[in-house]
Amino acid sequence: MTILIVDDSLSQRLLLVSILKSAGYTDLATAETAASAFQKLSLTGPLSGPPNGALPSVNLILMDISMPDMDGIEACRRLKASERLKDIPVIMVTASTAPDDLQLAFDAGAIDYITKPLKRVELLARVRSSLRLKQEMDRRKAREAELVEVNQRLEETLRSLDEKHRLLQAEQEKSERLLLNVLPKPIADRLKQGQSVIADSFPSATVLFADIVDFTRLAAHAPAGEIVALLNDIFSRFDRLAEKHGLEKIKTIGDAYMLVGGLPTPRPDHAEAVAEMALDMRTVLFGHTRQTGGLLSIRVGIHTGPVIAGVIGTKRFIYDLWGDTVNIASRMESLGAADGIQVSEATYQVLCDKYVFEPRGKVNVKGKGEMVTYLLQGRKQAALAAQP
Amino acid sequence: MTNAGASSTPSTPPPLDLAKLAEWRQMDVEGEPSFLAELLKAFKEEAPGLVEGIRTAAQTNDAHKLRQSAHSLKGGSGNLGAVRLADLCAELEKMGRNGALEGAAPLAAQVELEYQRALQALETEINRNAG
Repeated sequence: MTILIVDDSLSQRLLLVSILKSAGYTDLATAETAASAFQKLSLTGPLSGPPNGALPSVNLILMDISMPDMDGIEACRRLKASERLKDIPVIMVTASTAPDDLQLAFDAGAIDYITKPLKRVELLARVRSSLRLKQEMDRRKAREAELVEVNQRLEETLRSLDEKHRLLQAEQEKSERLLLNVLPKPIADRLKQGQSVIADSFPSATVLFADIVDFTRLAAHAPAGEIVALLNDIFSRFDRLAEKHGLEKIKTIGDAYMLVGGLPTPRPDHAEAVAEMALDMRTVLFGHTRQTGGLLSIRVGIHTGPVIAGVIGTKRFIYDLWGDTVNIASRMESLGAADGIQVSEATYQVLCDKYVFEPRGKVNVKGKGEMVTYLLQGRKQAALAAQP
Repeated sequence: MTNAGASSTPSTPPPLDLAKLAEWRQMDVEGEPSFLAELLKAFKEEAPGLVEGIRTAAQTNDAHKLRQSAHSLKGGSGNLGAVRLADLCAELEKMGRNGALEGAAPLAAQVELEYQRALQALETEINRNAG
């Protein structure tokens, strides 16, 4: 915050210093000649940064316009030509107020002038206003530099955020795909929204179990790779069929396949959709039977009733079913016959108008006692004809 | 404005502008040497050389030196309110600038005289106020 006074007259320097000191400006430097001032400012030194011995921060220069060697006008011109020093305001101290002389001073880059003989009030007012201007300019410059830096940082942050966001999105898409592989979409959505346990009660759904008969025996004779490939082929067809009929595959257990109709989005015709599925599954197996030389057949069990469906646990997500209905459907399958689709009384009651059944009589169901069951044969022709 | 010069008559302008001196007196700090005295001391250090410079420049027809010396003395005397001395210097400075030095020698002699008178008046004024 130094004020540099350049004047060849001792009394003039003393006067300037004294006036400024009396107003509280204590950081003052003086020079007798322009050359000495340049030395103090290191105008001749390296251009970048204030060199050793230079005044660290000169905020204002009071320059006598008329000096023996180099006059104030020329000195001011040289200062303004220096990239490092050009922002230091220069007030010319002049005896002449002739317009031409003042024009010369302003053309050389002076910010203001003060006339001799000096008047204390005038000098201080001009010094104050020039210093204020300089401070304001410095502040603006600093703020501009700050803004540029903040802007750069912001841009960097945004770029890295963009990148992170992109990676996050890719991760999310991946986990979403995985989640949708194992869970129905409405269920996946609810889990994503933070629900940790899902257990919905459905008053009516139709559960199907299918088991590939004699698969174990086939497995004993064929290489493991072929067996898995065969099973994969059959189950993949089942998966596509389930999708086609709007049914929810629950899981496969070994060579058994479990699916449900009416879940998770309820539909009134779930029993019928499951019946269509069962008939299609049997057709798939007939095709394979020809391939495998009559070795494979399917056993299907169906039951309709209330179930609980949901996701429990946090480790391995699986949309599963609970309840007596599930057990009975499983029994319908295990107690059924090869190539037969065995349904319970409950399912039969829903479907008997549209499908042909063969009564199977009473079957002893473990834990349930005797149950009347039916074997689904196919769609009634009349019902088929009634279809649009 | 009162006339502080002891030997002046109402027709000649007073050697000192007392308002200027009063302005500098405002800057005096209690317990510190009078600013005006300091300023006078500095003036007395540089002025004799300038007065001498004006005299020789006028004698040797050195317009450049006349202009410079007169200018410097004008500044110093003006700051001390020595208006008559400053006016004389201004006239000599103009001569130097124009390179027209006719009549410079008698003016230079007047400067010497006026310088002494201004000094006296200043010292009287300062002592009067110090006392």
